[in-house]
Amino acid sequence: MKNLSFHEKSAWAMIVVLGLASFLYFRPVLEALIAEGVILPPGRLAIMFVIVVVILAIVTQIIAALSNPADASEKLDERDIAAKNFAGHWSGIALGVGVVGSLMAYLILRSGDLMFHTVFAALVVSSLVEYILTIFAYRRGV
Amino acid sequence: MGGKKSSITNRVKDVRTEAGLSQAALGKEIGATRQTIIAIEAQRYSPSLELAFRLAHVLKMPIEELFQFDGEWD
Repeated sequence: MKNLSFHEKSAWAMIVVLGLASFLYFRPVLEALIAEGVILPPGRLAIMFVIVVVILAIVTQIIAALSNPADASEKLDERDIAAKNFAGHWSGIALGVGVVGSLMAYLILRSGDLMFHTVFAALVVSSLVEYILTIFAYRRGV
Repeated sequence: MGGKKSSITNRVKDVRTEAGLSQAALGKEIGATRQTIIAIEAQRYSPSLELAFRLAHVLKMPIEELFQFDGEWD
């Protein structure tokens, strides 16, 4: 843990936070879809997701910063930027694929709620891809 | 963790240790994080030309002695 930069710790924290919030959001959606064939309206779930992510992100970022205050205040150097660029590139592709897939699903199924859920999923997946590849880039080398 | 090895190798760790500098101090001198110094020393990250020159300057060593290229690439 000591050799992890603040940015790596932060990425790990966000993977956990997004994973937990996504579980809370998508579990009822999938349960309703499988059990009753109903697509839940996203309103309340989306608000709950945002609240959970904001609160947990603040708490985990504070913990990550407190674990190594000197690192947290450091500016990004060229390796940090290279890792961010690498991860951001693939994250953008993941988001694009998800959004295009959602739009095509809408053209076929004509369900706005379903499109919200799938675009939301694409957003979450693209963020996870970004955090996972940031860690990968730091570990493997960029 | 192993990580990708570069065809560029360096003697940064040896020279830094001889100079009595910590990784954090060297990083601060050249405008990089301690983790970047760790990655360079582990041959896991090849710095940009500018950062390599900064390292050579701070460690008072010609860049061609600090960094070596093994002559092979993909």
